[in-house]
Amino acid sequence: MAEKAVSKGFFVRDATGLVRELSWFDTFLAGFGILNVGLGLVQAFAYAPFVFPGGNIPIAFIIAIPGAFFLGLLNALFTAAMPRSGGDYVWVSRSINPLWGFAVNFFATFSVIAAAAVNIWYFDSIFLAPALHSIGLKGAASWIITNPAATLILAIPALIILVVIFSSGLQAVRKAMLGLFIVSAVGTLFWLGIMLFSNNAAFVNGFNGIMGAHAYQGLIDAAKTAGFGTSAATGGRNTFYAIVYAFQMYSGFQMIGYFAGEIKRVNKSAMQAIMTSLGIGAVMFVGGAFLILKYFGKDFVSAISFLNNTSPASTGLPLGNYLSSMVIFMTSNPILRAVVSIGFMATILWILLPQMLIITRNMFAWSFDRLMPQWLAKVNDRTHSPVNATITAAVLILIMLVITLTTSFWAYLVNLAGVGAVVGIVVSIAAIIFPYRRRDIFEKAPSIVQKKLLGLPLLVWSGIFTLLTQGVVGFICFTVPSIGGAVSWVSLLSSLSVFIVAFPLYAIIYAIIKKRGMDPSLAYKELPPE
Amino acid sequence: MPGIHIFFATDIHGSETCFRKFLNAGIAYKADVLIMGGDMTGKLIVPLVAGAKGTFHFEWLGAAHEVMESELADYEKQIRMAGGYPYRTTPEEKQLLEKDPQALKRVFAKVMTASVAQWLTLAEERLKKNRIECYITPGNDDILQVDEAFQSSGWVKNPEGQIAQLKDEYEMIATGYSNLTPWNSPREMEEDQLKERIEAMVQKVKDPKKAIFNFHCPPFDSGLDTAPRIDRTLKPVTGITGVEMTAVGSTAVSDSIKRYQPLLGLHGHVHESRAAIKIGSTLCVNPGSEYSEGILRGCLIWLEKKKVRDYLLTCG
Repeated sequence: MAEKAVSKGFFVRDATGLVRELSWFDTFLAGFGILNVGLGLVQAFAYAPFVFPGGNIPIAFIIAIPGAFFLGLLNALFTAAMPRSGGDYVWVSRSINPLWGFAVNFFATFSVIAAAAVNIWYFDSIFLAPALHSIGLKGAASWIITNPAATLILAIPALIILVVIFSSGLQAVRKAMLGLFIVSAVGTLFWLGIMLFSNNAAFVNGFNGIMGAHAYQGLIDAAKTAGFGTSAATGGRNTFYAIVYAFQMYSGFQMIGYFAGEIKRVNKSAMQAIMTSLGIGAVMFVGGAFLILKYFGKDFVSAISFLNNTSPASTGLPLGNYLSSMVIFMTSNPILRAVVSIGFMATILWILLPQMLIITRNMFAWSFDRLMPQWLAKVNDRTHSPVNATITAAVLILIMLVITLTTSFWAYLVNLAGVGAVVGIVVSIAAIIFPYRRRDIFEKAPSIVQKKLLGLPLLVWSGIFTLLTQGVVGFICFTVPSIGGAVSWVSLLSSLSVFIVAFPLYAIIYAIIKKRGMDPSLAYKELPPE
Repeated sequence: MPGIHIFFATDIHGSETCFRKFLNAGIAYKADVLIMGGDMTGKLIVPLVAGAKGTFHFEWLGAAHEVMESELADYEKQIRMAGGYPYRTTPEEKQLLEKDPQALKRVFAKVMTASVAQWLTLAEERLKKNRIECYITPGNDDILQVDEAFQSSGWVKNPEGQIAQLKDEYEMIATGYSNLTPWNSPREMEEDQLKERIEAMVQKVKDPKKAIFNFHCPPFDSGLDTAPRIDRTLKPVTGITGVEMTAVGSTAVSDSIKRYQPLLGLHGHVHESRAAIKIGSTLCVNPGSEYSEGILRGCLIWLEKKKVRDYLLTCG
């Protein structure tokens, strides 16, 4: 036990929990890992050129930066104001009320389940085949590409592996995450490196060498024949609209709020870490997008995206139509092919693990709040892992995968992005009203949170700009008929219902708890501090 | 409603805001018994240094202040409410405290015991008239001297190492001691010593299965004890996957719960591990702590006919 002066301003004594705190750089590393440049670029170029023909994707990534900046600012300021809480669930609960907090969290969890299902689909249908091909299992790769049932068949063992990893305990999860991250990062760097140190002529040569003379131009011509075209009149608008995809890729780096309690000088460090992550991420996304256009060629990238979304089999490409599958044309070096292909496969698996963590953690929180059955929070006696929550999450992901494969889920998913924007608007409103509704917390917050610009706190400004940004994203998602193919009222209502259903669900659970004995309104009852 | 309602909170670390909320929880939650699980004293002294012409200067919330003595009371209240100890001093004494850890230790002891004594007086004023029972066990971070303050309290009881009778119906054993921590805190011991301490109490309980085990330290690897793993320099281990978490609870506590299967386990110590779990038939709770934000996390438990009828984790 030791007492000491830590600055000229005050004295502290050593006590449990007073750890040497994380530097901004530690925090940055943990936050930056969530941004996934390689996968983000592959996803953006898989859909944006088709949905927004003629749009300039690198420019869209640049236009999205201010919006991402204000989202980052909102997260950094909320994190500094409530460092021990972490996450929009608590921010919304405290600023608006617990019902809205639950609705936001419920929808966010559903979105993660849907995203995990899509990632399983990506893993099976897009990334596994090139990886198998690169290590010589060409028959297996071909079976995956040509067999429509392969995705579902392979999803089950993939989910079982996930459940086994989680059932082995948190240390096993962390080790798996770390290993996969390293493999993923190396693969992405090599992929970008090939593009950086080579050129379009080399790619065309490699492509034609495998696919046949003039195949590169033939594919572009085939897309044009099939109806792909760009109009100068819509090019500018489509560049702006493509920010929807850019925002999706810029998400995640703000999540450092979940461990903000350990950050040294959280008011400054959270801001530094978030903004550095965003800065480096933006440079890599914008630079990567320009590299892709330079290396593959804009017409080729657009043609591939168009054909993949209209008649995927027509391209005749052996390992699928995604930029990550193009590695066989990018280099003849088998080691490089393997490093890049296995890197992309590891990327998807690396993302699935934190997604699973988020789902199970939220289920735990609901169970502790009595909003879900207690058995969800039960842990295995031997490994102390959340077996029930993990199995439940895996089953839900599988159900979402079946929906993805058997329905026009892409329209549904893009609508989901629109509803996600509605949720973003709720969080923005929470930021705008927080300084006034929770004056007690706001007035004790670090000076940076209380800092004002033109008479309004910075948090309010960040809320206003994030609200505008999310409003634009929501507007694009709901009003542009080309997004996700076709936006129907059925898919729109079904995705909105995920958010809306949280309200009656909460009411029903509330009634059940009350009938059992305890008044659930006491859970968040404000106690007077007098 | 039949049975008794217990409100349990813990680890408020000097936050007077949280302590006052704790006292008000009795009426707000209609609780018959209030239990504070330990670590009630703070970690921070803010020296208010006397200057010229009746001014005091100090640092608070990242800003330097210089105010007249007449304005000081408001700031002192702010500091206390947030979990700090305001301490009026001179430039000479401050300089001494910066150089002499033993002198600083004495000042800490003085402000902490004075604060606890004031809190116990306040608790008696608020709770006695409403016949709300109150039990506060000092935790591993509370210095031994604070125990003296309880001896003069006419209402609040310190059940450390004893058997308390809640509403003359439920037996409760309690200890604020924890297993060893990297901070060498005032009340910590080896696991086998902690086991002996617990066993000594359990042997005096009439029916352990109907008793409450109020142990500050949570059971090992239970989900109530997950904290950041720290390295030898007391820095959290982190990396590309975030902060590494590990179990830090007590095997002695865990073994006693598994062996005796009490009605209820009340725990704290690990602020970030808010949870309610079952170990066998025992409900074990750690309500967590957000004292630094002035938020009182707690757990409301309804006991009826020697069973846990229901519970609710609260955030007030």
